Amino acid sequence: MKTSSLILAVVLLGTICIPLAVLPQGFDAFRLPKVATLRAEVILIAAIFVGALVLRPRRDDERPPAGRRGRQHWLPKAERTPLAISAVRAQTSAAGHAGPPEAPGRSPLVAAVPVACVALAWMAIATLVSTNPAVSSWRLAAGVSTLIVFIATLRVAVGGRAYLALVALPLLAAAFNAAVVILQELNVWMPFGTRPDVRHHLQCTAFIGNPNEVGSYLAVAALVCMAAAFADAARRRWFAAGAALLVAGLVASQTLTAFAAFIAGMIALFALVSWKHALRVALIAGLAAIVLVATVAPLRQRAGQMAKQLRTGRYNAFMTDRLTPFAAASLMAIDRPLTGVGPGTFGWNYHPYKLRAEERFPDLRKAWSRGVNFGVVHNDHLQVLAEGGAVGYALFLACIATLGAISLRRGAADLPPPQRFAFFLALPLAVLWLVLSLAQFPLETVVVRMLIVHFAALCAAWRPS
Amino acid sequence: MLLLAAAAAVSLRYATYLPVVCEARVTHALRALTDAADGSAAVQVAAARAAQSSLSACDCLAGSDFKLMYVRGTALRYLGDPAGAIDAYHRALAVHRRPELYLALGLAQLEALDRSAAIDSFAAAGAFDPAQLERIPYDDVRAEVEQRIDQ
Repeated sequence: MKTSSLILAVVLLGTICIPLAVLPQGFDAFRLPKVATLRAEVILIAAIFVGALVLRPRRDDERPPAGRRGRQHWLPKAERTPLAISAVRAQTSAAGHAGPPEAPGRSPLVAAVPVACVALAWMAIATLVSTNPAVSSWRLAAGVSTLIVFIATLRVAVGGRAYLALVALPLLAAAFNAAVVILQELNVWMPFGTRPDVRHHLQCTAFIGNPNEVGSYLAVAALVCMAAAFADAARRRWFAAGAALLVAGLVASQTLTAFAAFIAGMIALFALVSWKHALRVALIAGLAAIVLVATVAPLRQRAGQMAKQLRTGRYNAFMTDRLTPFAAASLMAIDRPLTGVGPGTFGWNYHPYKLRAEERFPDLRKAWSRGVNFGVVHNDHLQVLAEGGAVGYALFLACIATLGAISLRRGAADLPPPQRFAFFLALPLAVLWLVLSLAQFPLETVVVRMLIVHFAALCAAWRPS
Repeated sequence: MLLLAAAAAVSLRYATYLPVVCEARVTHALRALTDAADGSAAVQVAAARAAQSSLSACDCLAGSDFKLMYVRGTALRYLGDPAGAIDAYHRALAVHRRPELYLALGLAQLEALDRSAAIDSFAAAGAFDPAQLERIPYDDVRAEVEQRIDQ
């Protein structure tokens, strides 16, 4: 079996296993098993890659040096025309020397990986100067794992290979989770049992973790499904049906930020077709939101509570008592504006900074969550700024901008499905990521981060020229 | 290739298998220690010994899992080793500075007859979460901690 096929199998297995991995008998029943599964995926990818290097037969006399330039050097200088280079690529591909043919234009690896590598390099620097290098080194390891999976996914997807499997398998896992959260909300099936001392909605976790994480995860999956329905006319019904189930799961999770991020992504998706469509969608989404809030009892109650909190000036309660971590993260960013307090150290630094925030804003002491030790800010913009400093935040925005830029071309009518998928997904996914990060933590949640990374890699691999 | 397979197997054990197994063991040990908290000294010692024995393979994760060192510290307190418990709690605090860890550290320091350090630790817990002060077993210590926080 070829190396790329093995890595493809591991990548596909990862997309299925990470959203389903749980350890019901553990305190950390959801996050740790997913982290462990990601580590297993990375170890297997690394082992396959190194094994292939060890086992690769030496045929230096027959093969050109590795890489794009190497293949061009295979030709006599006078014959290095684009047509001849394409012909050579086709030959090498047919001979099994060089994987599937690449999409025209710059190599996806050349286009997408440098930004991610610079971000990781900055993470390493921030780890060296961190307030707690030991804790930061674990986060750096998580960053390396994420980059390895990103590059592996990108590499196996180049040329539109395994298009359907790479798109549909993660969505199948998401559809399963959507079905589970709906059944949990309806109290039909509670796979992890029930606890009388915990509110029912908070126990509707699917296999993901908590309702907020379920909402973030399903928002990404629903948007991907919609983009696939736009891109793939032959399978439009299937993707549309999947999107309906995922949106139902998203509504069941009652996560307002995730819903807002999904709507923002949908508007961006329709804007890629035409601005008129986008305005219409915005209008319909607004009306649908009003109807949903008016008809679904939990949403109606929550909207009423929020309006009352706004009227009475209880802004912290309006933001579900998240102003304390926001203030603590802002103080961290002010203290160390360039490098931040270090990757993954917000939770470790929260204790002293929370006390400082409460000294500065005494009203924060009235929060019901005063005793809660926030491990994450619940706002990835502030989290990245606090932990990675201004440079880290600029690189975070650069990663999102690089993703969104993939959609910046004229029209997609003449493209094959993988390229159309990349065109229709990249910008909406970037918009969703930006909005979702305002009050959620997709980067801090393995299952959401890896779903975004998976589809970002596919967008980079299938980017239209 | 054998070397590579061995390296992959070792990596999978330490990065995947052990964290998951140890999470389950820590959860079980912590429940047992919590249940034993109101029991007799013999029950506490039995729970502590069982916890120590089940977590013996998990020490390599101490640098990343504060719960592990919290359980270790509580077990050592029940076994009458407050110095060991203080060391374990300090290692847990190096990973995550949580109020309940400061409270447990203060209790171990009281048992080690280091009252001033215990007051500092209780104050760190109480300033973050005043509800933690109710768990201080001595009224005079609690009053001193409240005074320290007010200052």
